[in-house]
Formats: sequence, structure tokens, C-alpha cells
Amino acid sequence: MAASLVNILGFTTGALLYGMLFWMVLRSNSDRLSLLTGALGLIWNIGAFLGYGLNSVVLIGPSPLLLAIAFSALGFLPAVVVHSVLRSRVTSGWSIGRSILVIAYALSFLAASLQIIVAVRDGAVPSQSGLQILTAGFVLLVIALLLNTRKEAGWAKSIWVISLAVFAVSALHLSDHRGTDPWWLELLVHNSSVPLALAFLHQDYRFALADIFLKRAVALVILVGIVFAIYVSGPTLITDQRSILLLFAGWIGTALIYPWIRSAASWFVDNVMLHRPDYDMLLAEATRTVARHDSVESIQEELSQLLQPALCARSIQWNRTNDADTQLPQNIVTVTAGRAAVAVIPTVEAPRYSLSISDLEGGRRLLSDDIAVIEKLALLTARRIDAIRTAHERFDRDLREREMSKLAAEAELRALRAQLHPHFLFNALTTIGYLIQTSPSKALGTLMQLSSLLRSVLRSGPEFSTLGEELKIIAAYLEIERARFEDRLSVRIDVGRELRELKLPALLLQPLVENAIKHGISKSIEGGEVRITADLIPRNHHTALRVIVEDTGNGGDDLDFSNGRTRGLGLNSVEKRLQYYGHDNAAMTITSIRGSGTRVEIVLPVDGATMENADALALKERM
Amino acid sequence: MTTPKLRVIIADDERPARSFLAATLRTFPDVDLIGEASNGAEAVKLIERERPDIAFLDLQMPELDGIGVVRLLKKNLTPLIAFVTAYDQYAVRAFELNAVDYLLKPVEASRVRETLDRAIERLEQKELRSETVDRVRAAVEEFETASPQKLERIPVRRRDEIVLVPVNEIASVVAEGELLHIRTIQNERHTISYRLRDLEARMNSNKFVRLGRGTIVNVELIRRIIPLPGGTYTVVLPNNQEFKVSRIQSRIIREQLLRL
Repeated sequence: MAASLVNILGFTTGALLYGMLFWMVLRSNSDRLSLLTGALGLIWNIGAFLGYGLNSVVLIGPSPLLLAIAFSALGFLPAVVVHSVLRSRVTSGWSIGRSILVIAYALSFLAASLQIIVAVRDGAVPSQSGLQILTAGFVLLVIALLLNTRKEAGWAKSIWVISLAVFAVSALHLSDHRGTDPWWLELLVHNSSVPLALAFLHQDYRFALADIFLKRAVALVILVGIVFAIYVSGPTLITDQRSILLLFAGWIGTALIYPWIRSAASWFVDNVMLHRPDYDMLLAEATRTVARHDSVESIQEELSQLLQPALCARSIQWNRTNDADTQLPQNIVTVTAGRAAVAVIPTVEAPRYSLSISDLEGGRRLLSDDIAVIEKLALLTARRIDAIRTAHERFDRDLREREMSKLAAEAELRALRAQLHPHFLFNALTTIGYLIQTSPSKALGTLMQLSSLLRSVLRSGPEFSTLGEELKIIAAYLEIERARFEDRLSVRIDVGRELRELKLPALLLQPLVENAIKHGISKSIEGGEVRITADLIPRNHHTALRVIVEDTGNGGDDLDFSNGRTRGLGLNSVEKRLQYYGHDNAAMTITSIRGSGTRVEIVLPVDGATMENADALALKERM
Repeated sequence: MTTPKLRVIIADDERPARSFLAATLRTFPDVDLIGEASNGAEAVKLIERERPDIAFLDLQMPELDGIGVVRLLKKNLTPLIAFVTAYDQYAVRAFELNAVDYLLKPVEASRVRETLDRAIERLEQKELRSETVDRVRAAVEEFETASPQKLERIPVRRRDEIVLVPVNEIASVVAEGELLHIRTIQNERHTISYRLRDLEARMNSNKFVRLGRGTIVNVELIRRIIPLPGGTYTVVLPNNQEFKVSRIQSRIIREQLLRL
């Protein structure tokens, strides 16, 4: 009974594995020899299954011809394997190889003939002599091959495969094939072809979905083994109901541990058979690496270094396409023959990059999981590159904007310094001319005021000044204008001492005072008062400095100011500079009534440090 | 024989500047400074009363500036003019193009002398004199049209006074030959001698609209628009003034006013 069970399970496994091999070869359009290998293995296992596996169950004796065909198929297996191993050498006219090949096929043919003859004559399949010829002949051939190919590259692998093939047939003669052998002998005898199928699959068809098949196969083999172990230990006890119960429990237990078996099998396939990298770790590492670097080049370099050992690739190359019109291909990863792949990094904008992986080492194929990982990495990299590009763009734009507004602010200041209103200057000189005639001491005083005003306005001083300094300049200016307009102009500067140390952009107030004179006082026959006041007010949770410059002169309506701003009354310049230095915390408000005067109020952040470091702070804010 | 002295007046709103020029003029024995004005309106009155040979007019004066003074003077009463300015590129260019005398502040005695000498020369020859007045008027017009500054007030003579009509208060302007009839919002009537085209150019185009060859009205006062057969309109102002709109202007009215 045990032997029959071994046969059923063994042949089923063998048929599955060879079937898989056959299917793989068929699908990948590989050479005919590999196809033949799969076919032969399949025929053997199916034949033997029908012959030995079923006879114990359905109690029908095996058909001799069927068995003969099965044994013949198995007999040809080593010859085909030898052929496929020697193929390259044979075609290049290697005489020893050719003769070995001829002998191998001859041996197989001889054995097959013997099987058929026996089957036709007395039905005592298999023919023991045929099996012995195979075993002896192929053992000798392997030794011959060993001697001849030992100095060539890859010989060890060839010999190993052939040895397995020989092993598949060599044990056959040990059995009497009547179902009377112990189970372990049956296992050895009839299922020696299974390792060969595994070896083939391992060597040539690790690619694509092979790993999944392999896992299933290994899991199946383990399961078969366990079931069998239970069964073998069973017969001695199978006398009472308790043992049947035990057996039943054993089955359930096996069913319960099947998931574990599966994961163990997949671990075995991944780590031992396929040397597959740990994809989760790889992805995690790649994610970290990609996130850590912020230049495209360094990301590429790091990814190459990560992928190279993981995929056993000798060559990993990055290519760059500038063509913006190129459509993204439908598949991110394109695999050629399981040995090379090109992954397009699907960035939103050109230039795009592609990753070519080729020259896989040691017969390594790109598995379905490899491709999935490459695809994930490509997407990950694309998003990262996109993010880097956007960040760079934004940074550049900010920098540009910042640079431009800084330049504008500097230009405003330069213009202010250069903008010594000639009108004012000549009028002042006229006034001094008059004073020289009437009151030389007053003339001297006005001259001094003018000198100090010119000095402070014309010198290329710092961007910031204190309110006190600014008011000094303004006072000098207003003094000169007072000499010119006499009683038409009165001046009141009402700013507390404590406010005079506050910092503010240089020459910010000056244009406002000039406007008050130019458009307010000088346009009015009666003249008026220019008043400057300052105080601290809360604004946006901060303290702000408010400075009011007002006059009781001519005044104007909105229209004058909208004209005025575009004409460069200086208000535009003040507003721009306020915006630049104070951002949202600064403001300018103008109220003007025709005939009764104009009031300009500016509010700006009071924190001296903030003002001084406005550049640095503003830049930081935007980053 | 003693030549008659030059009769001179000065107009400047800034007393120091005025005094400085006056002091310079007094150094010349052939000059008789017969009056000083501290604003444009005073200057017009002074000129018409005293009939000076030459007037030194400051270009920048509140309300009525030097240009406005010349504008208001009747042609036969216009003396020789020398403009005085501290700095004014537009004006200086207009003066130079028309060979009109001007002085830059602070005025230099030698430049004043040159101006006086030229004036004496022109006064001796009648035709030269009237030609000079024409040139001044031409320069003034040129300057006004070149100046980007919009007109704020229109100086109007009325008997022996000058009325300053704020442009914002004008309801309508109707041309009649060389004269312009101005109606204000308060329904006051004024007449000035000016070209409608020039006035329109100096008025705010957002506030005033041309209705035809000879009319400009304040857009803000238009309340009723009556369509006429043939696609034209009649515009009615609150003071019941009615204006026919020309065919071309009707289209503009339609596009600017009759659309939501």
C-alpha cells in the first residue's frame, strides 16, 4: 500500500513538474531539445502513473506497451540532456563530443528497443537488461564527459545536470517493478526524474512566473512527504478506530499547517533557489535613498548601486531624453527575454530618464517580483524628480522675484538720492540770493541747511536710517522752504524723543514732505501748515510705527492722486519700498480733500531687527 | 536827450524771489519798476491797469500761473513777456522754439540786461512788437498741449475780476466761433476765448464727453438720453440744456453710456 501511495504521489508530482517545464519551454519558444526534455519527462511520469500508480487502486494490470513507451521516454531523457549540454560544442565540430552524443542516443535507442521487444514478446516490462545498459552506458559517458570537459567553463553545471539525468534512469533496474518493493525503493526507483525537472526549472526558467510555480511545487513536494510520513507510520496502528481517528487528525493537522508549508516553501525558493533579494527591504531602502537626495544625478547613482547587487546586473545605465513630445509608453518596464529590462521614469515633464538593466549574472532572470519592484522604483523616482523639479522651479522663481524686488527697492533709493529736485534747488538758491541782500546771517543759515540737506541726501548711505535722522533731514528741508514761502508755510514736527531711535528705510518720509510742499503749499495762495506726527499703534499683533505727514494746502481729489501716482509723485516709490521692507505689515493711506489739504499716513513694523534683516527674514519665509 | 524808462512789472508768489528780481531790476537806471503782483490774478489786473512795456511772469504760481496770465490778457493789451522759472524743461523748450524770453532762477543780472535790451529793440519797432506777442501766445499754446498736466481750473474774465472755474464744476462747453460758452453745475455762464479741441485735450477724458463738433458735456451730469430716428440721440442735462449728438458721437455714446 505504501509503495502504491508513493507511486501515485511521486508520479503526480513528476507529471506536474515536467508539465510545467514543457509549458514553460513552449511559451518561451525555447529550443526543441528543452521541449523534448519536458515532453519525455511528462510521458514517463504519465505512463508510469498509469502503469504503477493506478494498478494498485483500480486493480488493472499495466499495459505492457504503455509501460514500454514510458520507459523508453525515460531512457531518452539522459541522451537529450547530454545533447542539449553538448550542443554548442558539437556544432563547432568537437569530435569527442559528437561521438559521445552518438553513443548516448545509441544507448537510449538500444534500451528503448529492448523495452518494446520485451513488451511485444512477453509483457515483462521493463526489461532489466535494457535498464542496466542505460545505467552502465550513461555512467561511463558521464565519466568520459567529466574527463573531457573539466577544463571548460561551466563544465561543473553540465556534469551536474547530466548526472541527475543518469540518476533518473540508473535506479530503475533496482526494482522488480511488481509493486512488492518497500516504499522507499519505489520512491527512489520511480521518482528519480523529479530532481532533474527541478534542476532544469531552476537553471533555465527562473524567469517570469516560474518562481510561483516553483513555490507551489516545493510546497506540494513537502506536503506529499508529510502525508506520506503519516501514512507510513499509520499501517502498524490501523487496526482500531482510534488509529483511524488519529489518522484523520493527522490529515486535519496537515491541512492546518499547509499555510506554513507554503511560506516555508516560498522562503526556500526565494532565498535558496533563486537568491532573490528582499523586496520590502529593497523598496524601503530605495525610498529612503530617493528622499534623502535632492539632485537627479545623485538619485540615479544611488539607485544604480542599490539595484545592481539586488538584480545581479552587471550593467545599469541611465539614459536621458530631452524630447518633450515623447508619449510615455504604456508599460513602464519593458522586458526583453527575461534578461534585460528598460524602465521609463514617468516624470511629468521632459527631460525624461530611462533605466536600462542588462547583463544579468549567473543566468539570473527578471522575475515578476523584480519587474514589480522596478516599476515601483520608477514611479517613486519619477515622483521624487517631479518634486525636486517643482521645488527648484519655485525656489528659482522666489529667488528671482526676491532679487527683482530687491533691485527695485535699491533702485528706488538710488533714484531718491539722485533725485535732487532741481526746482527745489534753484528756488532755494534764489531765496539765498535774496537773503544775502537783506539778511546775510539768515542767508548763511539757509546755505548751511541746504549743504547739510544735500550731504545727507546725496551720500550713498545705508538702506536704513532712524526716524530721528530722517526728521533732521526733513527739518532742514522745511527750513529752506520756510525761507522761500515765508509766512505762507508753517511747520510742526511733533515726534516724541523715544520714537526717534526707531529704524526705518532711508528717505522714506522725504518724498511725502516734498509732496506736501509741492502740491499742497505752493499751490495755495494762502499757504498752510505742514505737520509731521508719529506714534506707535498695534497692528497684526505687533507694534507698528505710524507716521502722518499732512498739510493744510491745496488738496486734491482721487483723480489727482491716480494721475499723480503714475506720474511719479514719489508716492509710488514710497509704496513700493514699504511693501518690500514691511510686506503685509506696512501700509500707506492717503486722504485728500480739495481745498483743505492732504494727509498721508504710513504704518510700518516697529521691530528694528525685523526691518534690518528684512531681506534674510523675507527669504526664509518664502522658502 | 533821455530815453524814456522801461516800464516793468513783476509777478511771483514767492516774496524772496520777487524781491530778488526787483532788486536786480532796480540796479538798472533805465528801468522803472511800476508794480509787483503776488499771484496771477493780480498780475492780470496790474498789467491791464498800468500797461507796462514788459512783464516778468513767474511760471509757477498758485491758481493762475504765468501761462494763464498770458492766456487771459487781451492781445492788444499784452506787453512784452519774460517768463521766470526755477526749472521747467517743457516750458523752456517751448520758449526756446518760439524765441520767447525767459529767465532762470536765481536770475542773473547780465541775463536780465539782455532781456531788457531785446525789449527796448522790439519796442522801437511796432511790427516786431506784435510779432513777439504772437510768438509768446504760440509758445504758451504749445506748452499747454505738451504739458501732461490736466487742467484744474479755467480762469475767466468777468468785467474787472477774474473768476476761476474748477473744471470739475463745468456742466457743458459750447463752441461759437472763437468763443467757448461754459455752463457750470450751478448754472453760471462764462465765456472764454479758446479752441474747443485744445480745451478738450486738457480736460479729463473720463469725465467729459464730446457730443458733436461744438459741444462737450460733463458725463456725470447726463441723466436722460432720448433716441432719435436715425440712430442718433438727444442728451438732456439737469439744467434742461438739450444737446443733439452727432452721428459719429452717437456710436461712442451707445458704447460708453448705454451699456450695462
